[in-house]
Amino acid sequence: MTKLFKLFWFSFLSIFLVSCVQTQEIEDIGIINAGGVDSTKDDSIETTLVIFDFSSLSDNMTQIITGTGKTLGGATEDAELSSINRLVPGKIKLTLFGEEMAKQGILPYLDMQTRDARVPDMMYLAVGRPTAKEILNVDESEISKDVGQFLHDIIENHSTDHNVPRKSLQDFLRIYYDIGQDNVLPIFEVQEKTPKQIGIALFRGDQMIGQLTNDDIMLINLMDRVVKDKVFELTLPIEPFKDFFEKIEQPHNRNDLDLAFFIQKGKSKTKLVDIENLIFETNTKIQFRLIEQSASVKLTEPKVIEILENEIEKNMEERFNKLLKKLKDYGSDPFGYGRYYKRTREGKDLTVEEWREKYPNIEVKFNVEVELIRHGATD
Amino acid sequence: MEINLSIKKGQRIRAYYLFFVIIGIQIGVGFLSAPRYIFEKAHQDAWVSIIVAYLFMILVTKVMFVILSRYENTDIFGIQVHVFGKWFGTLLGIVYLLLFTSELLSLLLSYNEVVQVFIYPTMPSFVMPILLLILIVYSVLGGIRIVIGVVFLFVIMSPWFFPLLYDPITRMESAHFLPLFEASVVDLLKGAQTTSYSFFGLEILFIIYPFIDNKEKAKRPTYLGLTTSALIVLVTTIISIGYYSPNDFDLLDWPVVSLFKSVAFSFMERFDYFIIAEWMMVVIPTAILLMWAIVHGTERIFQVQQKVTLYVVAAVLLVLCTFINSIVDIQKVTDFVTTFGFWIIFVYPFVLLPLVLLKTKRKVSKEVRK
Amino acid sequence: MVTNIKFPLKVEQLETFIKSKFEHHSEDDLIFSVYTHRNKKIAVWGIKYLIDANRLDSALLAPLLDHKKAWKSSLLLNVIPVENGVISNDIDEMFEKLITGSVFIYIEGENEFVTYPLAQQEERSLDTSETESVIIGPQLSFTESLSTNLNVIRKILPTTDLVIEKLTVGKVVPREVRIIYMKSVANEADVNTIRQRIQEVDVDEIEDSSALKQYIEDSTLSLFPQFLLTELPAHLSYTVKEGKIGVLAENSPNAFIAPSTFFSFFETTEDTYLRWMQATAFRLLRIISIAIALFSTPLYVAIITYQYELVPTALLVSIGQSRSAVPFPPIIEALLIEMMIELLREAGARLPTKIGQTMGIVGGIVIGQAAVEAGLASNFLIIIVAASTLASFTTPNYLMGSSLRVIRFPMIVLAGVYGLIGVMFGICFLLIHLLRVTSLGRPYLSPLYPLRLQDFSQVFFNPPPNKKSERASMYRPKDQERFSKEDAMEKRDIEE
Repeated sequence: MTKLFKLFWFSFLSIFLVSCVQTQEIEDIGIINAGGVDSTKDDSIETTLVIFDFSSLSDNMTQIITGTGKTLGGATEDAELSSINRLVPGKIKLTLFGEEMAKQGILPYLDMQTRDARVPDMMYLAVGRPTAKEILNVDESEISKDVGQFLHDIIENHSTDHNVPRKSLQDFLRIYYDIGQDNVLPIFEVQEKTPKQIGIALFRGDQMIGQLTNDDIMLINLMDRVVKDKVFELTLPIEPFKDFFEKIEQPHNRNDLDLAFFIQKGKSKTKLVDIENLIFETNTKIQFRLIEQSASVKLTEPKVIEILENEIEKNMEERFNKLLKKLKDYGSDPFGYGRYYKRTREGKDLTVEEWREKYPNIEVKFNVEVELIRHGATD
Repeated sequence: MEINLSIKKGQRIRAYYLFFVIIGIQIGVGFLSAPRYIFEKAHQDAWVSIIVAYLFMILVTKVMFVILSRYENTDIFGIQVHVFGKWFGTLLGIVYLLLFTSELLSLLLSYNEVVQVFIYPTMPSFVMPILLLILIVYSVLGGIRIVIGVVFLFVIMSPWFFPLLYDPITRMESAHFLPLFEASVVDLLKGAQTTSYSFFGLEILFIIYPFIDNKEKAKRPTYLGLTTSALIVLVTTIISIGYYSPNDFDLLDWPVVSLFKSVAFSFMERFDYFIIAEWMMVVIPTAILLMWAIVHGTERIFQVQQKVTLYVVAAVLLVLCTFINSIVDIQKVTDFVTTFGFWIIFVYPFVLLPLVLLKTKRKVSKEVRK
Repeated sequence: MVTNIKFPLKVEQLETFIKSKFEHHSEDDLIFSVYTHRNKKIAVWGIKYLIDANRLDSALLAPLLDHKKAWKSSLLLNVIPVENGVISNDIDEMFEKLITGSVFIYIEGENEFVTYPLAQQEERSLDTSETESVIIGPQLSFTESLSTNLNVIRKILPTTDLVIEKLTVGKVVPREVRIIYMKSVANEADVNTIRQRIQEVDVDEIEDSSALKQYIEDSTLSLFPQFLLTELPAHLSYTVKEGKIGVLAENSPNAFIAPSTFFSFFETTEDTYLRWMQATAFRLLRIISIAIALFSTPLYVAIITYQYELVPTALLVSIGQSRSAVPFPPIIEALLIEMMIELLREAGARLPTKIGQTMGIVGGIVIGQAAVEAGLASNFLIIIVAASTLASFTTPNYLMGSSLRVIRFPMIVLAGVYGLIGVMFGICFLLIHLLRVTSLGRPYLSPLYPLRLQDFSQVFFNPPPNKKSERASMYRPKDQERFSKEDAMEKRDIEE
């Protein structure tokens, strides 16, 4: 028994003697909640950090600090000088890259963040226009929340209705390293004192090379996942519906029929039809509900529905083709056609450069098939 | 040294505990990095490598059972003395003890490394080994029943985190698996050899066999255990391949830990930290089985009191862990264990089998003549 | 001074001898009356405050003096209407009996004296239980009197199968100890073990059955009680029916039960009285409470000190806000509040009930409100500590509850030193410890290890009555079947 006691004391003493693990009590650290990376004129980096500082007694827990340096680590170190506490990266929810920075390439900064095991994978990425600093310095009383959390929540909540591309650090890097696909990120700009998504940044590799409109994200999403519960608008020519208006609404002098839909479920399948000539075929199936129309068309007639569906299909295909042409001009492949090529035996050794060369020559046949399943409470 | 062992009733264990023993000893720290190493060799066909390794492992186990069944009630130490004579047999017994010790050392070192990288970068490298060794010594002091009890309890308590993998599963990319069957046979075999590191521990069967109460039922739980641990490795490897980009994969040292990084609930996030802390529960069964094998083996070969070996080995391991702390050295130890273990665990039984058959046959015929 | 005497002797000689032995005692306490009956001197003596005076007068002295013939010692036993009279001439034994309340009669010229136990039983009346309260079912608790306790047990279990063995422990102060078990159910090896262990206790005295329990427990170094201590006769008889062994000691209002497993400390007899679904839910709640009691404060300390990443941002902000006013590191903060709660508990247990209640209110206000306002602790910690304290009080057994409360402190320290890894180390250590503990040589963590799936339903749940036909196999009862499954609940209702 005395032996046991000796062992016990020995082990306990040794545990306490060697207990020199660095603590990080939450009031002694500055928890970075969001970060912004901008390039400055003299080729160095300016970082803007939104941090939680619980050591102060004021009601406002967030603090915005900036620092400059040659590397992101150096800039953070510099920013730390204006914070009471040591900065820790364990809760970065968002990294915003200034537009200039994004155009130069963002991989070096992402790489540094993946190397640090403490940085969460669920950190979202976005582009700030004109600079990340401007967005992060928005007056917080206008948005009644700290700005990092505000942007994070925008991306998180709107990504489910497919308005905003949600790209976490892990997603971005996976797409970056996967050959045959390119990234898109949301672009934010301060409008009327609040940050707002004004478009989609198109990436080639890690460099931003162009911008798409907010509507285009739906088409990109349709390509690689099931799109559900998404509202979208279409404008169709009025011509084919001429004979089918409700009688009361005579006569129509407008040329367009504006419609709003609610997509119940939409998904696509892509096939590589011809490897030699790189011909792809993308079949998209969409089930939708009509929720609004600018003029009432008689929806009771089966023929009307058929025409409506046809018109939508035509319109959608056109939009796909237009978008693809634009993308080919930029040389960026967010649809990920390269992935389908790389899956095949011929394409298994595909490199990024090869695909960049091949990409402008691909041809895609878009077949959209829509089905109207409900049209609200009225006919 | 007596070739056959007689085990008291109070020290025997039921055969179904072998299921937990096999899982407990096979799933350790190696598992956290296994998908990456297999992927390095066999790429998107890594899962084929695992199946190959699994089939090979079943074969090895069958051979082990054949060898063991030729004797009344003995372990590898007794068999080797019987087959190779006293001196050479004892020497080979020491080789086994060295294997166990180096496996234990590599386990302590790698767990310490994971903890240092993910949680406490500044922690001195002897703290984790001390904590683990306290637990190991405390349970091994209780004897075989307590060792099996700890293994059993910890094995049934740890798999709660598997459901959390639903999150990476939803983010998997099917394109990563295509095209299928691209790796050459050589690559697949190399992958299978790498996989074998996560299946180390199989050799415990050679030591624990005499302690089993109902030996006629020993096979089924063993094979089930092997299948389960192979399935665990297979599933996590498949998820890792789908989740990580092939070009990004080999940058990650512990892909399995990183899989849990994105799991989040409204009350808790960052399950990777939990997984690392929880991994202590996964490491302990492996460690105490190895430690018990060392202590028991030394007693068998040299008739040294178990307590003495236990304290001495623990102290030596602690000193080694304190001095081996650069990543390069740790990698050297792991590589050594991988090669050394591969030959002893997966190849040596095939060498032993014909010798045992020959030797025991002669004995049987001699008895008949008498 | 007379050192020794021999019968027969004069009454006066006897008186001087006995009084000489009582030199330092008050003379008034010793009654030594001498009567003359039919020309024979008869001495009657005993200790005043130990004797039932009414019975002495009516049952002993009256028939003694009214007798028509001359007395003989042997005649006394047949005539005097007091039970348990003994004829003896052992002087040493006489003194032993004297101080336990016997009355002695010596007829001059005889070779021996007669002893009658006439002790007055001073005891408190049977009362409801204080430490283990039950809502429905028998409320009765044991008293300090062994005979009353045995009486109660026999009333609950009126069967000849119930064996009550008698043993005596203590060299200087001998104390009666009783082993209670069902002959047809209890495991014989267990009965022998406990009998042997009690017999081998070689101490001057045992203070109480709970002290005896500590002498004979398997491991004195363990953090956990290995035998279950109860003051409910209903609980004792319930477990005795399961095949366990109960031990009662004279002068002790507690019985202990062996062998006991870890999970049996979370069973109450009330589970049997409630409907099975509710009882199952409550028992699971108690088992979950173990984890809450042990790990909630340590987890708070670990997360706030080291692993802030685990807390979602929204929660982190509110914890951070409440922590911002606190000047101490979380471990000091947690130890401080836990200490306050323990002070409250201990003070409440020592004080009379009425003052205790007032103190509870004062303490609650001080800890809950003032500590937060003074910036000594965060709101969050108060909630967590309150939850863990509540959880520790759900344990039906006082000894186990206090074990859990004590274990919390090293856990908090481990969490403060090593964070999550420290908590995990604590959990592993506790589990290994639980595996190593035995109760009467039987594994403490049964039926978890050694695994007995057939006992799971009885230990973790409270199954419906018809599923309880078998006794738990982990105690190795002699007779496993409680009742026949087929016949027990057959219902012969009227069919409409």
